[in-house]
Amino acid sequence: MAWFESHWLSTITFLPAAWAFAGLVIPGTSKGAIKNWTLAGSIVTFLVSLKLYGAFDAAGAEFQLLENAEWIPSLAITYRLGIDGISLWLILLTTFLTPMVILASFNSIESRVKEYYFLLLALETGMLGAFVATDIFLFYVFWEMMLIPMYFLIGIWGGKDRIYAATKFFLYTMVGSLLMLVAIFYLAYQHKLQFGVFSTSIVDLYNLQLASGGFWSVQSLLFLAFALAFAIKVPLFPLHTWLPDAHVQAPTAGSVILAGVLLKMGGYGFIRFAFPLFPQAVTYYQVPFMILGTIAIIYGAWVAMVQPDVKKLVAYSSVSHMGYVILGLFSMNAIGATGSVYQMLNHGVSTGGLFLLVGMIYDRRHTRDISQFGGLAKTMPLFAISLMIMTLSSVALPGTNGFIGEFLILLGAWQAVPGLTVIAALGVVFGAVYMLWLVQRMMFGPITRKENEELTDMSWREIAVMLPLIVAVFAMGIYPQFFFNKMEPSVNRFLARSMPTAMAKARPPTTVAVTEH
Amino acid sequence: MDSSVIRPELLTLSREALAVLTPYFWVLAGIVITMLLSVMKVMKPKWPVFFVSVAVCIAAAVASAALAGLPPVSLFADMMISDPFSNFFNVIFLVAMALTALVSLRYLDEEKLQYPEYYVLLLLSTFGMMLMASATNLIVIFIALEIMSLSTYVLVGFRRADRRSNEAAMKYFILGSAASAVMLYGAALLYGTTGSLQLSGILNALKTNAAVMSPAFMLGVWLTAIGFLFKVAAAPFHMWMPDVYEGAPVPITGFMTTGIKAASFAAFVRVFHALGYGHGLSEAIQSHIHDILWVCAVLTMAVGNFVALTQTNLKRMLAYSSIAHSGYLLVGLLAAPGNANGYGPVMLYLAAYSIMNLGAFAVLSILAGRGDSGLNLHDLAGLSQRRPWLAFSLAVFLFSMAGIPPTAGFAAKYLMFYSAVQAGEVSLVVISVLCSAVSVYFYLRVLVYMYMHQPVGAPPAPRWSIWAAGTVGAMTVLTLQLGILPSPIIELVRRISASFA
Amino acid sequence: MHNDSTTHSALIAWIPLLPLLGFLVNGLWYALFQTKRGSKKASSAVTGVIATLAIGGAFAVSVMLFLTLKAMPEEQRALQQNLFTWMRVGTLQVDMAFTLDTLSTLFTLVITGVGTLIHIYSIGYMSHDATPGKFFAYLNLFCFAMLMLVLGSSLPILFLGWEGVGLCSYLLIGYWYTDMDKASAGKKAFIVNRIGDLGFLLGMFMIYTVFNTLDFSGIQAGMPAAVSNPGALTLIALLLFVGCMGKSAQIPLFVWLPDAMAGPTPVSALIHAATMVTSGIYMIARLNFIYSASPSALHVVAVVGALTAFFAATIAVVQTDIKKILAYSTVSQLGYMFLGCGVGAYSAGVFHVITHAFFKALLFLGAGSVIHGMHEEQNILKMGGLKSKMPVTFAVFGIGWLAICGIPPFSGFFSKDEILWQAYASAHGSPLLYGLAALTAAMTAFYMTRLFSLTFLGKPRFAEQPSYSNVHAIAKHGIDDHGHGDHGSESKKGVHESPAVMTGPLIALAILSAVGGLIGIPHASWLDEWLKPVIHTGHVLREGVAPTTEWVLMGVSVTLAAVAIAFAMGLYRDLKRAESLALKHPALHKLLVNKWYVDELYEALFVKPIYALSVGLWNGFDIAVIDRVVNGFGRVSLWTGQAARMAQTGSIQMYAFMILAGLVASVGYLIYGLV
Repeated sequence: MAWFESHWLSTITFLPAAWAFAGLVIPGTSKGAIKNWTLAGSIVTFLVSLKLYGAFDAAGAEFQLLENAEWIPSLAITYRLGIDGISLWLILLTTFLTPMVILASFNSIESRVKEYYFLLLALETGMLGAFVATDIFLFYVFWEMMLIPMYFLIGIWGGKDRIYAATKFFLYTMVGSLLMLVAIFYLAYQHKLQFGVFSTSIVDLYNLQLASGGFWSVQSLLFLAFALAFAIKVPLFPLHTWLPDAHVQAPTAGSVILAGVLLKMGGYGFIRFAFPLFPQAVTYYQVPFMILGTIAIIYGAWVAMVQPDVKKLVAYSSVSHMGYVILGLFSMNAIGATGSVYQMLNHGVSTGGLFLLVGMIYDRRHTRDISQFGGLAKTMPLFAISLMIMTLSSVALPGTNGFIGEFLILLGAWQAVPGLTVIAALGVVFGAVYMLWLVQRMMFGPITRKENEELTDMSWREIAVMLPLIVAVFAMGIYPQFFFNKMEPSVNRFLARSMPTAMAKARPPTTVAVTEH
Repeated sequence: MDSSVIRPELLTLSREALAVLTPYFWVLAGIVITMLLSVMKVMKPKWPVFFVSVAVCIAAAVASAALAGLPPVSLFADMMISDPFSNFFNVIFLVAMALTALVSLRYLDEEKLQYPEYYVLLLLSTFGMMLMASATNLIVIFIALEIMSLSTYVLVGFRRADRRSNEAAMKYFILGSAASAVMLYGAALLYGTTGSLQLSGILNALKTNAAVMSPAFMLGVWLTAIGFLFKVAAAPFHMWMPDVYEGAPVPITGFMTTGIKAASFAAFVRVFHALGYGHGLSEAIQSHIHDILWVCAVLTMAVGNFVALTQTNLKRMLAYSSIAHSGYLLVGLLAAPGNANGYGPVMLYLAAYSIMNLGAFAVLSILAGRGDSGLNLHDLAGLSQRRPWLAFSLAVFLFSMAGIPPTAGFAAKYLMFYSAVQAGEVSLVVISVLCSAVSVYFYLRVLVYMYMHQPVGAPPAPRWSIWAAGTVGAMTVLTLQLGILPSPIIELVRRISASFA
Repeated sequence: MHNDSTTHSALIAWIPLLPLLGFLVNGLWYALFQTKRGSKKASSAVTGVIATLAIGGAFAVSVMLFLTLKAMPEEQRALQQNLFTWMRVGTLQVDMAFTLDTLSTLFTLVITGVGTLIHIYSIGYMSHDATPGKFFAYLNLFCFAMLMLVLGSSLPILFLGWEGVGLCSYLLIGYWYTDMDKASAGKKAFIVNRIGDLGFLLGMFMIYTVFNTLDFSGIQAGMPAAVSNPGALTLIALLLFVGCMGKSAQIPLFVWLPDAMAGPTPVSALIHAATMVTSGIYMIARLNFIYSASPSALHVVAVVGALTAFFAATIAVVQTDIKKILAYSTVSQLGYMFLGCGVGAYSAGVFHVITHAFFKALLFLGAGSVIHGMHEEQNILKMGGLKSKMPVTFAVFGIGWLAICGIPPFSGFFSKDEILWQAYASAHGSPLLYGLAALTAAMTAFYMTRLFSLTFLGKPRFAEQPSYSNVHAIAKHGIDDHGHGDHGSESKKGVHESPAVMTGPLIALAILSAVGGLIGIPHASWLDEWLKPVIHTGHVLREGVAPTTEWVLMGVSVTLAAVAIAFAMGLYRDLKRAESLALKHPALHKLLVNKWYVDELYEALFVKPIYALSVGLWNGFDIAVIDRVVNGFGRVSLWTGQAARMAQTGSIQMYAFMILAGLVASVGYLIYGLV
C-alpha cells in the first residue's frame, strides 16, 4: 500500500495495461465476460484517477506526485512522472471517456472481441503515460506507443477504406514525430554543452538558452520540428487531412478516443514542450500560427457544412474546434491559454458525445449518409434530445461548456490580435450553421424513408453512455470555476515560462556559445 | 622487429593465450568432429552433427561471454587480439550460428537437404567470422574474410536442385572475389605507404610521420573500405545482395544478414579505427573519406528503403531492408569518432539487428513452403487468425526493424541517432529518420496482410519444430526486453568501445 | 442599503429560478415518460398549470421586489444578489450575480406578467397538442433565459440570457418540426441572431479592453476615464447595436422575424412581440451612458430605427397573412423604440416597450383566437364579418387596434407620441426623423385598420364548413397541430368563439392596453421619474424648439391616424376596389408583396456563394491539393523505388559494372579532391 501512496501515477498509467494482460486468460469465445472485465477495468481506473484531483494541490509545486527512477542512466534518460493542473484534467478526461467508449462498443463490435478490448486498454495506458511523463524522451516513447493500438483499432475494425486510413494516420504522425525525436536529441546534447550533463528531464531542459532570431536560428528550427509533430496531431490546417479519413473509417470507440484524447496530445505538447522550451521562437511564430488557427476555424466549419457523411462532418468540426485551441494558446495571455485548455476538455466531451451518437445511429441504420435520415426526432425523441444538447455544446451556447472555452479564447485572442479575432469569431456563426443544419436534416421534417419509421430509441445502455457526457456539458458550462481553480496556476506558470522577457531573468546566463545554423 | 629469425617463443602459447583462445578451440573441435561424424558410416549423421554443432556453439558462446570482461590479450605476435570487442562479436556470431542450426533442422528435412556438410560449413563460416572480429593484421583479416565467404558461397548454393540457388551462389562468388581483389589491392597500397600490415603499425606510421598520408595511402584506405562496403552491401556495391538473399535457403539468408554483416562491420570498425579515421588522419583525407562515406550512407539508406517499398516477396523485402540497415550502421560508423559513445551504437545496432532478423527469418523458415515458396505478402493474409502467436512475433520483429518503441530496434536507433547528433551529423540524422519513416510503410504493409486481410486459399502448412518455435519465442522476448530495458547492454557497448579505442 | 433590502435581494434569484424549476419538472417528465412510443400523452391542463404556477410565482416575487424598491429612497433603488463566481481567469472576473434596479424591475414585471397571461392562454390554445409538456417546458425555459437577460449584473450574464432566448425561440419556432418549413424558420432565426451576437461578443471584448471589466457597475464607474476615448466608445456602441439588430429585428437583420411566425401563436405573442425582441432596447437603455457619450452612434441607432419602422410598415400594408402583418408591424414598432433611444429618449423607448408588450401581445393572442376559431385560416382575405361570430375577440382586438393606431387615450398613443415628439425636439432629433416617423404612424394606422376591417367587419368571405384548404392544413399538421385533434366535432360548430381560458387573458391584456399609457403622461410621467436612477439624461430640447410645439405635433399625429383609419375603412369596405388600387401600381405592389426581395438578395449575396465556396474548398483544396500532395509523397517514393529497381536486372555484368562505376567515381572524387 505504501508503494501505491508514492506511485499513484505509475499505478494509474499501467493499471489498464495490467488489467488487459490479466484479461488474456479469458477465452476469446466468452465475449460477455471479456466485455464486462474490460468495462470494470476502465471504471476502476477512473475511480483511482479521481484520487489525483484530491492529491493535486493547486498552490503547490509546478509538478506534483513526482516519481523518478533510473531508466537509461548512460544517456541520462529517466523514468520521471509528475502532473500539473493541465495534465491533471487531461488525465481525468481520458479515464472518464474510456469506460464510455467501452460500454458503447458492446453491441457494435462482434469480431475478434478479445483483441479489441485488449487494445482499448493498452491504448489508455499509452495516453495516460504521455500525460504523466515529465521526461521528454519518456513522453516520446508513450507518444509513439499510442500509435500501435490505434493503428490496429482503425485497421481491423474500421470501415471500407480502413487500411488506407490507418496507414495514412500512422505515417502522417510518424513523419512528424521522428523529426521531433531528432530535436529531442539535440536538446539533450545542448544541455550537455550548457550544463555539463545530458538530461531529458523537461524541468532541466526549461533552463536551456538557445540562440534565437530569424528562421534559421536554432530555436526556430527546433520549434518547427516540435510544432510539426504537434500540429499534425492537433490537427492544424493544412496538416489535417488524415483526420477525416481516420475518423470516418475508425470504429465509434476509435473516433471518440481519437477526437477526445489523441488530438489533445497536440495541444498538450505545445503547452508542455514547444512553448516553454522555445519562448523566443513562439513569439516569432505567434502571428503565423494564430492565422493558421483562424483559417482552421473557418475552413473547418465551411468544409464541415458541405459534408454528406455525418461522421465526416463531425470530423471537420473537430478541425474547426481545435483551431480555437491553437488560436487561444498562441494569444499568449492567461485568458486565451486557459480558454484553450478548457476548450480541449470541452471538445473531448462534446465531440466525443457526437461521435457516440453517430455510432448509435450507425448501429441501427448502417449508413452515415445524412440524406438517409430525416424526421428521426419523431421515432427517437431521446436520441434527438441528446443530439440537441451535444449540438448546443458544440455551437458554444452560453450555459454549456463550449461557451466558456470559446468566449475565453476569443477574448484572449482579441487582446493579442483584434483584427484576426473578428474573422475567427465568424466561426461562431458558421459553427451554428453546419450543426443546426445537420440536426434539421437528420431530426426534423417528415420521415421520408421506411427504414426510419421503426427505429428504436436509445436503449438503457446507450442512455448510460450519454448521461455522464450530458451532465458534464452543463456542469462545465455552469460552474467552470471548479476546473479553473486547479488549472489556472499551472497555466500561468506555463505562460511565465513562455514569455521571452520573463525567461531572460529566470534563466541562468549561458557560458557556452550556441552554434548558429 | 626482425621477423626473418624464427623465435621459438612465438611457436608456444602461454597459458593466458590458451585461455582466451578457448572459444576458437571449441569451434575448431566442432568442425573436426562434425567432419568425422559425417564421413563415418556408423550412424545416420543428422542428429549427432546437429547436436555437436549446436553444443560447440553454445560452449564457445559461453566462453566468449566469460572472456568479454578481461583486458585485451594480443596473440601470435599481434596477428590477432582477444579483447571485449572481439568477444562481444563472437557471441553474436555463435548465437546466430546456433539459432540458424536450430531453425534449419526441420527446414532441411522438408527441403530434402539434410546433409551434415551444411553444419560443417556453418561452423567454418562462423570460425571465419570470429577470426575477422579478432584479427589485427590485414592479411589475417583477408584470410578470415575468405574463410567466411567461401563457406557461405557454398551454403548459398546449397539447394543444388534449384536454379536460382545456384545462380545466386555463382554471382556471389564472382562478385565477392572481385571485391576481395579490390580489398587486397588496397591492403597492398597501405603496406606500400606505411610499411606495415599490422593495424597498430599502420597507426603508428600515421601518427609519427605525416608524409605517409599521400594520395596512394588514401587510395589504399578507400579500396580496403570498398571491400567491406561490398560485404555489408552498401550502395552502390549492394547489387549482388537481393539476388543472393533470395536464392539462398531461408535460414542461410538469415545467417548472412546477421553473421556476415556483423563480422564485416566488426573488421571494418577495427581497420577504420586503425587507419586513423577521426584521430590522426590529415584534415583533407579525413574530410574526403567522411564525405564519400556520407554519400554512401545516404545512397544505401535511400536505395534500401525505396526499393523495399516495391517488393511483394517477404524474403526480398527483408533483403532490401537489410541494405537499408547497413546504411544506418554507416551513419553510426561516420559519427563514431565524434561522440562519447564511440563505436558503441554500431555494436548495439548489430546486436539488436541480429536478434530481430534471426527472429524474422526463423518465422519465415517456419512459414516457407517447398523451395521457399509461400513467402509472398498475400500468403500471409489473415495469418493473425490462423497463427496468432507467429503473427504477433513477426509483428514485433517488424515494429523493431521500423524502430518503433518499445523494441530493440528503437533502442538501437535512438542510441545511434543520439550519438550522431552529438557528432554534429544533424543533417545526416534527419535524412536517416525520414528514410526510416519511409520504411515504416513497407513494414506496416506486412502487418496489414497479417491482421487486416481475410485468409485466402490454403497456404502451405507451417513447418513447426520445437527448435524453431523456441528460437522465435526467445527472440521475441529479447527484442521486447532490449526495447524496454536497454540500459545494461548500452552500458556494455559503451564500456567495450571505450576500452577498444 | 435599505435594512430589509438584503433579505429581499436574496429573493431575486427566485425570479429566474422558478421558471427554470418549471422547465426541469415538465422537461424531465416529458423526457422520462412521454417519449416512449405509445405512452399516453400528458394533458395540457396539468403541464400548463405547472408551468403557469412557475411563472406566476416569478410574477409574485417580481411584484414584491418592485414594491420593495418603491419603498426605498430613490437614489438607493437597486438590489444586488451574487450567487457564485462564474469565471475568474487572469484579470477577468464574472460573477453569477443579479441586479434588480428600476429598469430591470419594469422588465421583470412585464415579462412575468404578460408571460403568465400567455401561459394561461396557451393551456387552452395547446389543449389538443401532442406534447404539451415539451411546449410548456420550452416556454418556461424561455422565461428563465429572458429573466436572466434583464437581471444579469454583467454583460456575460446578459449574454447568457441573450443567447438563451435565442435558443428557445429556435426551439419554439420549429416546435412543429415535422414541417420542414417551420424547422427552417427556426434555424434561420437562430443563425441570423448569431450574426447579431457576433457583434455583441466583439462589443464585449472591446468593452473589456477599454474598461477592463464586464460588470455594468464597473463599466459605469469607468466612464469618466473612458470618455477621453470617444472612438472606442462609438465602436463599442455600434458593435453592441449589431447585436440589437439581430435580436430586435432591425435592418438589415430583421428577416428572421416574419418567418418566426411559423411558431405557435402564443409564442409569437410572448417572444416575438412582447419580450425577446425588445431585449435590444433593454440593452441600450442599460448602457445608455455609453450611447449618450457617442452622438454618432446614437444617430446611427436613430436612423436605422426610423428606416426599419418605415420599411416594415410598407411591407405590412400588402400582406394578407394575419400573423405576418402583425409580425411586420412588430418590426416597425421596434424601429420606433430604437428611434426613441436613438434620439436620447431612452425612457420613451422603454415606455413604448411596455405599452407595445401589452397591445401587441393582445393583438397576437387575438389573432390566435381568430385562427383558432377559423380552423387554421390565416389569410385575412378569407375572413370578414367575425364581429358577430367572435364578439369578445372582436372587442379586445378593437382595443388593441386603437392602441397601436395611437388613438388617445389608449396606451399606444402616449408612448408613440412621446417618441415622435422627442424625434422632433430632442437634441439628437431632427424634423426629418420626425417626418419619417409620423408618416410611418399614418401607415400603421392604415394597415392595422385594413387588418381589422377585413377580419371583423363586412361580410364573411369563408364557407361555414371548413374549406378544403383548411382541412388540408389540419391534415398537414396532423396531431402535432396545436388544435383540433378532434376536428369532426368542432368543424361542425364551424367558426366559434374561443374558450374562457383564452379569452380571459385577452380581456386582461385589453385593459392593460387601454390604461397602460397612464404611466407616462407627458410632463407628469411617472416612468421618467422612476427610471431616473438608471437613465440620468433628462430630455434636453434642440435649441429653437418651443415647448408648445409638442401640443401641435400631438394634434398632427392624431389627425394623421384618424385620417388614415378613415381612408382604410372606406377603401376596404369592398375588397374589389382595394384590389383595383393594387392593380394600378403592379410593380410597387409586387415589390412590397415580395418584401423588397430582401431574402432573395441575402440568398444570392451570402448563402449561395459561401456554400459554393465551401464545396469548392472541400473538393478543390482538401482533396485535390492537400491530399494529392500527401499521397503524392507516397507515389513519388514508389516511383523512386521502381526506378532504382530497374538496375536490379539480375545480369551479373550489370552488377559488376555498377560496382566498377561506383569505384571509379569515388576514387575519382578522392584523387580530384587531393591532387
